Amino acid sequence: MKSLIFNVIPFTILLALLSLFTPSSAFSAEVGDTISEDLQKQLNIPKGQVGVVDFFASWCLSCAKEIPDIKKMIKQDSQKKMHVVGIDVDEELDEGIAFQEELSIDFPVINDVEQKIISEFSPVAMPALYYIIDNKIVGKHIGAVNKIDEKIINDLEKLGVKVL
Amino acid sequence: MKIKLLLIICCFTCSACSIVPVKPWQKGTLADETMRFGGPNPMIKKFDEHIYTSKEGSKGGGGVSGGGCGCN
Repeated sequence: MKSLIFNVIPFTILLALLSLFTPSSAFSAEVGDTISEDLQKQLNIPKGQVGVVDFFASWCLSCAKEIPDIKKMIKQDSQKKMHVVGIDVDEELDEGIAFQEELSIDFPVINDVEQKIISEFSPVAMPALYYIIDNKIVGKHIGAVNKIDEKIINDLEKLGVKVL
Repeated sequence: MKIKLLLIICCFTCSACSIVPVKPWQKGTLADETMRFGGPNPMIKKFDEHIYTSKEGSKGGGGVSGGGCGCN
């Protein structure tokens, strides 16, 4: 009996640890989660503004389709209630910058070449968009959305932020 | 001894399942034109498909939608 306990328990623990460290244990950021302090500094969302964090890449066709709509939406936000931050997840910096220039992106962009920021959010698909208020994720959109500008404005209205 | 061996096999079997899946933001290479069936030239693909369908006597089901980025 004793030998059974001494043999079985360590292996059961090992088995449990293995299951913990397998990739399936990766989780994505959900509504209600608070972003880390490092991320807060990087995103630099001013107090009183809603952070709209948009993840994109040069190879993501849907992302390229959404960006002009986001630019249009920023222009409509005359009261500056939003702070849009783009996160370019291209592994090649040159490709990312060329893509940003091609689309004439005029909002702040962080080049996440090492893909550390997106790993913290771990969205299940691209493009991914998150709303952040007081360092807390209050909403998200995963995957391509038609007329994303209208969708964001509606979402923010539901959150009590009137953009227009 | 048998239980110990069984558990070792069990542990190794479980650890063998840990194939690292490609994350949606790591699909830049997969989304590349050269990763398409038939390569970046659509004419070559069309030509290949033409031969394939005539040989098989059936058509369709040869492609996937999307750019590989996991977009909807």
